[in-house]
Amino acid sequence: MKKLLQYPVTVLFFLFLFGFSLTNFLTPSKAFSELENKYLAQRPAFSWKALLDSSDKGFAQKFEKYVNEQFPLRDGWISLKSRAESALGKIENNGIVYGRDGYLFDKYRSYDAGRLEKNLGLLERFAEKTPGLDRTLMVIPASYNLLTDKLPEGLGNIDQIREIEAVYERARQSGYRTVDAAAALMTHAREEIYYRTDHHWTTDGAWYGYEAFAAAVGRQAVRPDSALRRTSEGFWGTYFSKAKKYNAAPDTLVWYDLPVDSVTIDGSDVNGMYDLSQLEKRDRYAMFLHANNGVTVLQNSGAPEGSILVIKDSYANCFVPFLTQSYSKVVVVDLRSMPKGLAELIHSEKIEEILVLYSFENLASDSNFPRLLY
Amino acid sequence: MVFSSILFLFYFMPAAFLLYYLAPRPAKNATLLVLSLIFYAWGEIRYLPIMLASILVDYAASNMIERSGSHQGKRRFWLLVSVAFNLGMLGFFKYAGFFASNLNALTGLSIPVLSLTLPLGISFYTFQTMSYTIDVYRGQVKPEHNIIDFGAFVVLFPQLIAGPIVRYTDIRRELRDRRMNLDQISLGVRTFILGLASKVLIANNVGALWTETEQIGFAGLSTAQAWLAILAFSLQIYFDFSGYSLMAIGLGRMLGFEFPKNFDFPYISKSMTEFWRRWHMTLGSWFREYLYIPLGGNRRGAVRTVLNLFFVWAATGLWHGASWNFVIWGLLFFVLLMMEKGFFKSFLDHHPVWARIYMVPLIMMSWAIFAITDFSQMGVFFSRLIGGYAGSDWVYSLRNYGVTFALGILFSTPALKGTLERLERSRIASVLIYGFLTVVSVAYLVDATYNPFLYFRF
Repeated sequence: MKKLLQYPVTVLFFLFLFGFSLTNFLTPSKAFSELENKYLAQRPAFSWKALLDSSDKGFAQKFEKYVNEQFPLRDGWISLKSRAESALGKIENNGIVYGRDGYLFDKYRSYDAGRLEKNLGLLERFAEKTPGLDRTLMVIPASYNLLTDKLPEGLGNIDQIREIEAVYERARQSGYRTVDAAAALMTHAREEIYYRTDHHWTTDGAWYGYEAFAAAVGRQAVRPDSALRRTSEGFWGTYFSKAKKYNAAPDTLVWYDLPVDSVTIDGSDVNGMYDLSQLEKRDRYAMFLHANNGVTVLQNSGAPEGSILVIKDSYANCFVPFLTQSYSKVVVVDLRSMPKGLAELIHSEKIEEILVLYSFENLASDSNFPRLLY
Repeated sequence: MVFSSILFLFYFMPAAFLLYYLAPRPAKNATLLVLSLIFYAWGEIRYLPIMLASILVDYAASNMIERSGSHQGKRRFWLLVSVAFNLGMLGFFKYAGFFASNLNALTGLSIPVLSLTLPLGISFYTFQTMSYTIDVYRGQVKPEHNIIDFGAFVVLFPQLIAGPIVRYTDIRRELRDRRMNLDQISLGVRTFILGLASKVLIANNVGALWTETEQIGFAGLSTAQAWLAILAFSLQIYFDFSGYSLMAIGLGRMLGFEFPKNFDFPYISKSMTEFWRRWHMTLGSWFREYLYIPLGGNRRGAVRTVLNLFFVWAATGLWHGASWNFVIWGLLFFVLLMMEKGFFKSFLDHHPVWARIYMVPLIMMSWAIFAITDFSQMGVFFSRLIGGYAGSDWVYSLRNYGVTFALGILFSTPALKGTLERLERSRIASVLIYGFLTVVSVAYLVDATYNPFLYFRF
């Protein structure tokens, strides 16, 4: 025993290894990580077939993932790494760049041009399949494209505003009206139009987008009464979940308690446009429209006559509440949760106008666009 | 399985060392064999039969060489069996696709091009076992009669996947009879931690810059950014490779083996000749011992020596991967070494400043040839490297990676070696240093977004 004490590094090293592997065995698996806002891998089921599979669906790779994600004190290790990265003078972590004033940004240096091309082609074919309908395309750039004064020098991200212009050029040829959301946001770049810790635009940002949209389609943008403004402090967004920056400050979530008659999601009634129970959870942005669902129908008899179909990603979730004040019927479709039936839906809901609203990054990466044609 | 993973550190390592230390002395090699096979088979269980065949063939061949006594024909036959088997495996898994596609391009044929996942560490263990049968054939060593001991030598998990290339003669004595003491184990633990930190804290950290640059494409790089990117790769490959070797040597010591040194601060070399004495030392000596000297070395006249060297360097290049850029990379060293041999070396030895001006950019450029397998991309990269292109992309890279670069450059020289050794004499200081390195490395492994295994081509 006395002899062992002469080798403290060795003794501590083995104690460390054994201590953590025992703790790992004895502690039950966690299902969800609040810090990272994701479900954690669970112990994979063993089978001889899975053992022989060397792909990421095989036992070996799944087990490694499980071991990593269930490692004891995972959150502490993650925060230690984030501190170490900062100590090394790094201004990014896990692909998220640290900007000025607490803003986190996406590191977006390349995108899948083939996928974007495919999706634009599918939008063209969708236009051919929906003759006689009024179609609008609106593509939203990520925060770093507008908050340029908060970016570190020489980041070298893709200029999404330029890419969107090229996308619009093509879309106009196939009969889409385009809305220059970037220009509308640009005039308000000094305001809180994007979250600091999340990839979405804020409700204020969405308001300027809605203003530009309304002007383009020739409808009245209905400014909500400021008495209806509600806020929730302490929102940690997706950028934070990736970067896990140890000294980040949370955002404030804003919404307007706007009047609607009814909201149904995939055929069943829900209570209003906002899921307030999400405010108790980590992923607060999911309160807008109850997150991403297949088909959401919003009726508002107080709004001007009209029915519009919104095909969208999550950027639209905080935008649609404004839209309900301009159209008596808004039908919202998220292709990721709706496998087929779009043509039938357009018919049965007597859709007159279509708005395709995506962030550039999703437009260039979403693989569900073929569902436009089913 | 790779060393730099939570799975290895917190599952395999505690279990393996517990079993190994508790096993009675006669059962230690058997324990080691089983543990090593599990290590090898994890994730690539399909290739386990190849490993077992490798053990059996080389065991049989070496013992048959001994039994053939003085019958030269038989001895040569069994040597050929072993060499043909090992080179055949390497040829099939590593080079078949390469040769087929080249042959197709040359002749217009369309031989189907196989693309196989390379069995983990195949380039290392085929070289190890070949050197063994050649040594037996040469009568330099008696064959191993105990198949368990022999099997333990072949799949010995520390050096299995990324070197050093441990020859049978290096560890023959230890295989039979090794004493483990706390001094050696503790030295092993510290060596392992240094290796882990090299890989996880330096190599992975700077390597991300090179990988990102590759992903964006080289066409828009500023010249400064191109140099930063290739500096990043130079540091990555050194700390990754030498880190693996250190982890292997450390684990070896913890098991009671003394493996040969593999890296000795190669980046401070004053000539390419010196560089190759300091870089992947066990590979260089393998090629010298088992290729250059059997070809006749420098004893058959000047022309033959040059030819031999040409062949050795082409082979060294090709060993690193089945692609022409590796051959060119190897031949670049052939040319430089010939120049140095002719007239340059004594100048370099006497002019350390000029030696640095010659070595540093050239080593970095050689890594560009190594890292880029596509020749048109390589052309683009070199044009950015020497073209004097302006841009602001380097500002971000330098700001983001500057400190890591500085640490990498500092630790690729022996500048702090003495300080570290002095500090280690204090128990408190060594607990602090090694504890810090271990804990931070684990943090990077838990939140790993970039932890590549670079030797999948080897």
